[in-house]
Amino acid sequence: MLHVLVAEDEWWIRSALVEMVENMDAGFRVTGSAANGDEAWELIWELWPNVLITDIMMPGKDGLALMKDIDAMALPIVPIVISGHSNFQYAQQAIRYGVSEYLLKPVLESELKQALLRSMERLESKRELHGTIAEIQQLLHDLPSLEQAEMLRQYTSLVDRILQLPHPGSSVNLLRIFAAKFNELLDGAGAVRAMEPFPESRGQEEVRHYFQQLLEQWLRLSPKGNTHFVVKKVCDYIAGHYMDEIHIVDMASFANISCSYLSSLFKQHTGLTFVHYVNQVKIDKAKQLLFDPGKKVYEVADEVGFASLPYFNRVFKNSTGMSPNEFRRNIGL
Amino acid sequence: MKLKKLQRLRNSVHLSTRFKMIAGFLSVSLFSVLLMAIFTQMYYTKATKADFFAISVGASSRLNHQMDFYIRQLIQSTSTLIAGPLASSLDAGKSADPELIQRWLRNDNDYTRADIARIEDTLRRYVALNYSEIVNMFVVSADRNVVSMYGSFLDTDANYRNEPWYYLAMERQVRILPTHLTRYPQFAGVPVVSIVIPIYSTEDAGLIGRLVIDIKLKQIESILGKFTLGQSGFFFIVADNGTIVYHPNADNWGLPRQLTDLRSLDLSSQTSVQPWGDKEVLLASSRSDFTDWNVAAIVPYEEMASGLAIARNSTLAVVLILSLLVILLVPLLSHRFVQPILRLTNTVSDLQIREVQLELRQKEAVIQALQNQINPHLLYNTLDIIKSMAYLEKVPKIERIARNLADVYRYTAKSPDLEVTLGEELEHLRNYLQIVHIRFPKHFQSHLVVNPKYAACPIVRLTLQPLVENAVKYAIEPLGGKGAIFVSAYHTDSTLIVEIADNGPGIPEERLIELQESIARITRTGSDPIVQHESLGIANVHARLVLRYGEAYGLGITSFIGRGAIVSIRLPLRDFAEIG
Repeated sequence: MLHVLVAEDEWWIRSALVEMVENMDAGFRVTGSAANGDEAWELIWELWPNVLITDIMMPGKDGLALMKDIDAMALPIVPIVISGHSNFQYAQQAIRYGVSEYLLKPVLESELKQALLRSMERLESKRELHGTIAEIQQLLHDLPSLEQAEMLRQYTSLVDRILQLPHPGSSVNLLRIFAAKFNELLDGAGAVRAMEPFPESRGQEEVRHYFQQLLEQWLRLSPKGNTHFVVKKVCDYIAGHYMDEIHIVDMASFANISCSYLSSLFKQHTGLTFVHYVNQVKIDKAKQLLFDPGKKVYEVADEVGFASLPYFNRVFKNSTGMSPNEFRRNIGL
Repeated sequence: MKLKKLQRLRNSVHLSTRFKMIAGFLSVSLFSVLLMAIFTQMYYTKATKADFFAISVGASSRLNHQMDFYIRQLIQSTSTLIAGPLASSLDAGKSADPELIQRWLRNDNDYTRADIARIEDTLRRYVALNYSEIVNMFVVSADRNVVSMYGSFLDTDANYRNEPWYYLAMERQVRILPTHLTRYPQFAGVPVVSIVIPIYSTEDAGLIGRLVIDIKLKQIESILGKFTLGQSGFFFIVADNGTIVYHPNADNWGLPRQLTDLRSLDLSSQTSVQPWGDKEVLLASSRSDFTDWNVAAIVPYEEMASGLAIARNSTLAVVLILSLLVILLVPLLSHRFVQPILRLTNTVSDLQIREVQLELRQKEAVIQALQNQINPHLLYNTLDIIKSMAYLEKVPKIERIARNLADVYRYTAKSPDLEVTLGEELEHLRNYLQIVHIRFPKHFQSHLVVNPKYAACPIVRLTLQPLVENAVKYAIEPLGGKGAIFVSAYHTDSTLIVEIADNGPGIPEERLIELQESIARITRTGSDPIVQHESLGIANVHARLVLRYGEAYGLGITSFIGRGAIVSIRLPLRDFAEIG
């Protein structure tokens, strides 16, 4: 199963891309969609997709900048670029950032499928890296809720495991990603002293020491009394706007904290990631709406902010264990 | 093109102005100097001649007068000698008997030697008193007895028979005989002028004899010697009978003119310019009625015109100086004068260049504006939105046509690489034809039967699709889509021929001729000013093919009324062997 993130500013195109991926029935699923480059960047750290499908021309951080950052961090993500231009300079730039798939608008399903299948092969080498990143992500999410002893055990074991990876290049990459992510979390949570960024070449002991310091900083953070209030505020907003697309970037700025911190607070207070929480709210609302027999399923999906029916169906099934139609039959409609 | 031309113009102006100015100044000044020289030559010559003639005629007549006066005085002074009474009153001496000559002449037979000696004495005394230049004096009686101033016992009349005056008839008027050499024993070979004075009887006034005075040319020499003419100019005197009376060269004295170098001269007119020897001479003469002599002044023309030579030399000097000045100063001056003009010219041509650039930029702007009429981002995004909606709503034909339209526009708007491969052109054509197929859903047929071995052959971009579009417009549309288009390709030795055929109504003959003429014009000149809007597609494609591949390539049109038309594209066959 490959996780796909879609970044495209046009609603219709984005929706169609999501639906195309969902419809392919070739082992791909959309984990999220973003309307601009900044949001896509946040969602990458949140969802760790395997493939990024991105437009080039987007407001804010554009597709090229996004790919440049992915390339610079050596994130284990395969990008697929879509563009109206067969502009050679764009294509050249994209190739420089390691892009091998360049699709022209309007994207046809068949072409997208071919591109995704080709991307699968490229991903094989990044699999291992990807699993570890998921673990890093998981640990950082869990930090607020873990007992100190357990936290220390998991943390040291993860750092050791990364250090002992057979391929030193990927080891350094992962450590850098880990450090960047943790620093961002600390920053967002209001750490007193920002850590220096992860240095390039260090011995294992120094690396352990560096990560030790990161954790000490986290432990030294006095738990903020109002974190609950912050999460509550965001939850209230989501409850009132379930029909819209709700983006973590907007919420982070709404709550005046970093995306990472918001994400980790969500995990702490709700037990779910931000994206899962939002989907949960929407599916709960959808369940209510499905009780109305006059409503078609796609109308329900539309009302809770899903442009793509297959995507809605899949998210609904993930959440409830059944499809919307099965749900209806279950309740006797 | 225009820009380059202007640039060239500017350079040539800059380079040649100085040269032109030098040449101009030089020719103007040389021309004026030349003109001046010609005028000087003409007027100076005239003036010189006039001056010479005025001076020399005046001088020669003055000389004549002086000589006349001298001779008249001489004659005057002899009157006492030959008349008698007056002389006796002047000189009461016994030895000088004025009546002696009269008496001797009247009756010379009874005169003694003593008497004759007294006559001789009288003559000698006269000479001693008056004129030292007198060589000899003779009293000649009517029957030609001669008493000489230097008489002697040996003296006989026979001694004087060779003198020119001896046989001269007795006349009442004074005769002046031109220079001749004396032959008498006392003074032989002396050049003298003889003055023959008639003696009248004091009693009856009858002609009784003559007094002959031979005078040396001393006096004449002294008179003429004062006058010089130029360096080698001189005066000479010729008697009416041609005898040279006087000449600066004493050897010529007394000779007939015909025996000397003066023989070629024409003395008939008072003033003249004549060739003499190897040069041109100015000649002026004046005649005395008293002596019957001509006093002539002769001077080589070039000496008289020495002023002219100076003028000529100074003209040359002026030419040199002027040329030098022009060559030295004009570059300096031209720099000062031309610089502002050059600056002006440059400014003007800059302006022109700027204008041309502006024109180009405006044209570019127009093209840009035309391209921007469809903002590509908007176009492709909108087409993708349409396609996405179609996808979500499950209308695949809309998806397809949206994608085809996007592809067609992308290919058309691509930065103009001149050449693509036939494969790319065919791909583009397929995209276009898919739209046509959607447009005419059931009956339209298109067949692209091109062997893949031609796929890599180069072709000017946007050759096939505009021609097919043309065929769709004139063949398929009138049939309501119930037609077919065939695209095929084959090759001869070195030419690839791609044919676009349709089964439409064909091209009307008139129109076909127009099209073929237009194509021929384009082949010849590269463009066709009278191309009509309808044939723009064909003309444009043909023009681009001819420009790229040369006159041997391009379009050919055949039509069969009611059955269809064929446009054949001739291309150079390249990149074929690798595949073939």
